[in-house]
Amino acid sequence: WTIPDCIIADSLLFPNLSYYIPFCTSAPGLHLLASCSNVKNLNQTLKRVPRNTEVLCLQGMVPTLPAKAFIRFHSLQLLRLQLRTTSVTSRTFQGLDQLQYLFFDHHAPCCLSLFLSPNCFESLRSLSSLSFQGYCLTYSQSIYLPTSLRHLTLRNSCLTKFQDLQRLFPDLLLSTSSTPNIKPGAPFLETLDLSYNLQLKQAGVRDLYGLTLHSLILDGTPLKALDLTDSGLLHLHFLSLVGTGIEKVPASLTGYSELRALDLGKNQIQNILENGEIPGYKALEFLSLHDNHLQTLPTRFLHTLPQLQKLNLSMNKLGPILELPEGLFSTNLKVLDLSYNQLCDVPHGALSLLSQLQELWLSGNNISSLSNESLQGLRQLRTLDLSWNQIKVLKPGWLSHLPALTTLNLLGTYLEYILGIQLQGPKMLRHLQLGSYPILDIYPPWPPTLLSLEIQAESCIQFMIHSGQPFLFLENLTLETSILLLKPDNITIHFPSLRRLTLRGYSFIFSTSQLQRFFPQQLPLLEHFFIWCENSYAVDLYLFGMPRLRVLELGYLNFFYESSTMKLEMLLKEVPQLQVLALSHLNLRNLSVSSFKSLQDLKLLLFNSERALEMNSNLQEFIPQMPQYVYFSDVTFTCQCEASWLESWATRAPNTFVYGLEKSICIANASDYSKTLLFSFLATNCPHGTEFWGFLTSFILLLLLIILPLISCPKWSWLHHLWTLFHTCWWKLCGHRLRGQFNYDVFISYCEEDQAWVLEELVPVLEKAPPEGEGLRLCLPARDFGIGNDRMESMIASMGKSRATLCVLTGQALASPWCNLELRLATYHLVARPGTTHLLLLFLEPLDRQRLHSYHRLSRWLQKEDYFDLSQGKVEWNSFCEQLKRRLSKAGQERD
Amino acid sequence: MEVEPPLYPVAGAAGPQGDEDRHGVPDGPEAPLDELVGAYPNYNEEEEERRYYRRKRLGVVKNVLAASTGVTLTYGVYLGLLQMQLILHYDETYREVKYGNMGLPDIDSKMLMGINVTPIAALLYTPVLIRFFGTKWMMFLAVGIYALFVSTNYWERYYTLVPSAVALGMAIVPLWASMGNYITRMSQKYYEYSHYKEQDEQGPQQRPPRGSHAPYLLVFQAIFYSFFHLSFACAQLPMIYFLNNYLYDLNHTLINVQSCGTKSQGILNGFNKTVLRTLPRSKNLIVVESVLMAVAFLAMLMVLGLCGAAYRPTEEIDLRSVGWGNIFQLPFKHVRDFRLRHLVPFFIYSGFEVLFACTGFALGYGVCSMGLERLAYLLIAYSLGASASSVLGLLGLWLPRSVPLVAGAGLHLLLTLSLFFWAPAPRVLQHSWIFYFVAALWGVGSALNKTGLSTLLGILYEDKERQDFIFTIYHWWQAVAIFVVYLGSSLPMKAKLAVLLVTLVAAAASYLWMEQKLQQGLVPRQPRIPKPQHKVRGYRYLEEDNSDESDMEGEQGQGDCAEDEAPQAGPLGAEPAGPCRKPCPYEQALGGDGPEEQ
Repeated sequence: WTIPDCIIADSLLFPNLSYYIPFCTSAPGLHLLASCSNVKNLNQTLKRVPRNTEVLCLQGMVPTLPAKAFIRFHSLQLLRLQLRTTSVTSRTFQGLDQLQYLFFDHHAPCCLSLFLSPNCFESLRSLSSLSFQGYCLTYSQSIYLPTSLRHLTLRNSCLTKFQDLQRLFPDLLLSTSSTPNIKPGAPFLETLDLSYNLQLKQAGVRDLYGLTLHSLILDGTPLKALDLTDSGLLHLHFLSLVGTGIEKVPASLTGYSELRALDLGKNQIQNILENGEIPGYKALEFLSLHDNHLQTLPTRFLHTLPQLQKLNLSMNKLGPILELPEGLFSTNLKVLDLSYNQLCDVPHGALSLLSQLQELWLSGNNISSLSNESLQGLRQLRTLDLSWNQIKVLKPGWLSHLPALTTLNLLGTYLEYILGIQLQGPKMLRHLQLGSYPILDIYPPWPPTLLSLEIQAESCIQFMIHSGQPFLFLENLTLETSILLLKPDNITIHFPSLRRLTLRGYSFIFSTSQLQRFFPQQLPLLEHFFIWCENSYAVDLYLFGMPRLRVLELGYLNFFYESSTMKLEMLLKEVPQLQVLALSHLNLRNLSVSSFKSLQDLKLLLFNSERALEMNSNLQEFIPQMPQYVYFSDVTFTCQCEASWLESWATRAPNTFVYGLEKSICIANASDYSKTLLFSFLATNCPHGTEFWGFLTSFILLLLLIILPLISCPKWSWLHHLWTLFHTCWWKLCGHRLRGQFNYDVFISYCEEDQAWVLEELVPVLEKAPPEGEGLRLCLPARDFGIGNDRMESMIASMGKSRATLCVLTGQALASPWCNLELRLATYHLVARPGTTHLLLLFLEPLDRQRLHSYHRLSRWLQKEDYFDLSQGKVEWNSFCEQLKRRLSKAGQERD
Repeated sequence: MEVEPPLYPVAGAAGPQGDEDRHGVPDGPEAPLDELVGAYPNYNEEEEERRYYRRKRLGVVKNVLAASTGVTLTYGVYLGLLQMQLILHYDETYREVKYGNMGLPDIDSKMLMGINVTPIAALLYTPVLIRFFGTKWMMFLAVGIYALFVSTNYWERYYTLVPSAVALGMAIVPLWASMGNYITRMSQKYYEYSHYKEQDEQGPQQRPPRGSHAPYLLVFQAIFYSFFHLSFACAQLPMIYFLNNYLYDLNHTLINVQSCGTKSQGILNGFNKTVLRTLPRSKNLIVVESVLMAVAFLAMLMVLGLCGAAYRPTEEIDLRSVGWGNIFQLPFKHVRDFRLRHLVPFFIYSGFEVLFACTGFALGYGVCSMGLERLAYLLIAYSLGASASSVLGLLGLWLPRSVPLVAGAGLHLLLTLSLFFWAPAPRVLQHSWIFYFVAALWGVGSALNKTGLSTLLGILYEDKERQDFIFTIYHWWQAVAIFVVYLGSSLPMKAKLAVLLVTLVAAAASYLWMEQKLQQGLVPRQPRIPKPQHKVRGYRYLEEDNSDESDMEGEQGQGDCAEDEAPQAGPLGAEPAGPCRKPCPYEQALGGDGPEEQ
């Protein structure tokens, strides 16, 4: 499924995704994360967010948070709101029992006014951290805080005095008049962060009375000094006054003696109390003076800190030569940070007094070489950071006085080669980072217990290996260079315990057999493989023997190179446990189901910067087995209807979260710059009505098949009438000229004796063209029957093809067998085809009823229908003709 | 050997006599008419008659075969499609990806409701429909409605599926009632055609002796049910050739299923929400649906083209002319007949057992233990067992008619009892042959039940005037049973089995009681079928002045038939024959076969 403007991620995969979630952070132990931007309608957005989300970050424009907005999210633990909210009702956070972290952030210039209903946090029973950043809470008051709250942050707000806190959170502080007992039900706040409240100038007496804080952070406030005891704080451990513009270390203030940590970074302290009063920081363990203007070490001041363990003096101006007087630091000092101090040299024995020192940070100085004497006495030193110095040469045995060293950082040096001897001394060197600008040749022997190794060189790294297995315990290897060489040629290196391998390069370091020589055999424990190769040539990369690979990131491997034999499916064939696959700039062109068939456990699939990607339609079948999270970022597709399944998949598939397709564009060909959105292309250009047409066609066919037989079945006369009616209308619509199946208008039955009368009197009247006659087409047996035809057949056929039958009845006619037969046939038709047959009787002479009695149908006919009696001149000839014409034309019309 | 002269002169091979005759007869208008139309001198009337009736009998057999095949295909297509669509729609991914927020589960449940609930009203309209359209045309129409349902599955929307399901529900009872009627009628016709000589002697008005058509009825019903039960196998073909390729195996689908068989509750509790390993493409689905549609078309054409009418047109007119109000009432009036009352539990059981085999057993036992991919084979076992053992219905030719029915009931009783104590373990395939065996045995019982009941009804009610009512009642009760199963689908398996068992025992007991009553000579009350009131013009216009009929006769006939029919003679109940029944005018007028379709 997909949620517009939202991204869903599992925090386990967060390292691969943090780039896509810029304003959302997670907390340890939380998994499902949802981050939405451009939220306009909160309920609409939240409707699609999964219910079991634990981290929810919202950015957008929602001035009022509606009541019960988050009631669906029972397991929500972290909520970060950047919604420019101005008011929160009392029931907004109902149902968030598990919520631990709640952040209101507003990053635009200070401050947005926020109205909080007094009991809006009442239902947050597990809330431990509450943060407002960039909000003014001027109009709110008496806000209830849950008892579980430990951290309260009001950064970049518009507090002017501490008493505002009293108004906002009356539970938090005791009023100045009350007894110092802790109120029942009040939260036991540990950290109060009021940094960057630019108007917080005055600290009144007993302003913070009643708080039992551990940490107070007042960074960036104009408060230069805060009398802790006066303000009512008793047992503060940590005070941060970063960036407050302090020029002198606060001295004469009471309450600082209990401080264990003090951060005074980014101030303007130049020298500390060389002459003045010495403040009583008896308990201080951590002191940070980074980014000040110190030029010399505050010797006297440091003397007075017996408990000091960590000292941060980075980014000052202590150079060029480091001088540490005897007894300057307490013997407890464990961490000393002197980076970025323009130091050029560390004199011999300068550090020899710091026998307990465990970490020494000297990066970013101008040190060109270090001898073993400089580092003398640091027997406990574990971490030494010398990165980004001007080191050009390493003296052999320079580490000989550092037996406990485990971590050594030598990035950014100017070394051209490193001999194994140079790294000898420490017994337990585990983590090594080596970096040089142009070329780095590395010679054995290697420290035997190395766990992680990072080597950077711009153009070439060359390994000289004598014996086969120097990296038996290496778990983490990072190589960043252009060319990787291994000498001598016939040797291979083994990495039996490698877990994480990162390869970055700029040309074809991995294209040749180098890579295979470097990693020839199995990497049985490898879990994370990252390869990034900015390379326009094809890469023959094969992943084999990595049965436990979980994370694979591939970048800039040109898959669509003409001569390339490498295919994605080949690459992914032998990594069955892969969980994360990130592909960027691969020039894949085509993606089909075969690539992912063997990846059963894939959870995250990430495509970055692909051009003209074709999603094969066989992936459609693969939908139920798609990874849980699929991200497309900066991917353009080819405009083709084969991908029409993408939209329904992306928006609705229940087991896969898809990100980034709705804004993807597609291109028809290489020169198409129209930037059509993929989905709009699919919606407009791809017909998807096959089913509908199938339904319509089959439905209509079926209806016809049902209705036509029903109509043509002769049993239902009403249906038949309807049908004939319809038929007539149809013929009328189509024009009257069509005579249909009738060849004749009137079939005249007469006997031979009456032939003369018929031919002379009757036929002319009926047959002659109007106005003389009627213009009817007559069928006379003697005239119109075909020569040689059987008379019976012709008779039956002609009667069927005539609109009406006119029987001329005389005594002779009744005696004649043919006339008899014709009369019988005509009367039979009356019965067999009622409604379509017309029989007209013309009596030329009076006939006895008895004689007609044998034609019993006829006798009945005569009772109902009229007939023409021409006998004895009863009727005028003319009127007879008129009548006859009328009847005939009527009959003709009816039969139509 | 003497060469037998051909019955008719063959063109071009005319013998000397023929030639002579030709030459002897004067041609032209002067020719005497008698000689022109007169019979050929060596016209063997008896042989002609024999051949004629043989043709008629073959026609009847053809009718039975065509109707059975047509209905089998239709029902197979319908069942197969329904099964396939329900499985597809069950899968969450398929549903969401293809239909999104359309609310397909809701539509499906409404569809099932339409299919299962609508037939409840069928008692009101089925006889009217059957009499209005005629048996064959009702069959054709109902088959057409089944085909319409298939057609709407191309485009599954609320406004296609639900109306077509309701229409289908309306067509179910008429289809099966007219089908039963048709088969029974065909056996009677077959008897007529094979015993034409006796009939001629007795005269056309005389009815054939009681139970005379029973052997043919047995054979025809056996044929019909062998075909019909094959439809369950046909319905599995889409599953086998199409859907099974897409299904997950049992390790995925049954992962959360805890208990099966007698311990299970509802239909497949804990069954995985996703059953499709890969999604079928729309194109393939359309192909499958088109094949099904084509088969449905074929079935319609078979019924239309190959099934002859069940009655002569005049008979149908008579059947229709008893008055629509009477037609509407008569099914209800038949409740007075104790035989029907006694059979009602059996009708209900007959509905229960089919549905139990297809849902309760196949899903609650089979799928629950062996996975969805074996559902098709299980139902095929049931279907083949039932189809093959429909022939066992022929046992009624030699044994008393109660034996097959009671044997089927006994078999089901044993099976139901053993199912009570059987809770197969989920995801275990070792004993899969037991499932197939039980399914096939259940099929045997089903076949005995179905053939037995249908033949019994055909034997008990020989009148063509009331057969459609009887079959309507039978299938209506079946529909009610199916509706009850639909309502109780979420019950625990033990409850279902208990209901089944109680119904079965009640049905068998009630049936045996009825047989005993009949043997004791108790005579059932049957409602009178009113005299046809013709208002139609056509052949009948002479009827008004039928001078042969005296006033007295008419009066007397009416007076006799005014009450409910009383038994005339014999222990086997009354038949509306003899003086009570006024001979239809068309029978007088025509005295033979009318223009009858084959």
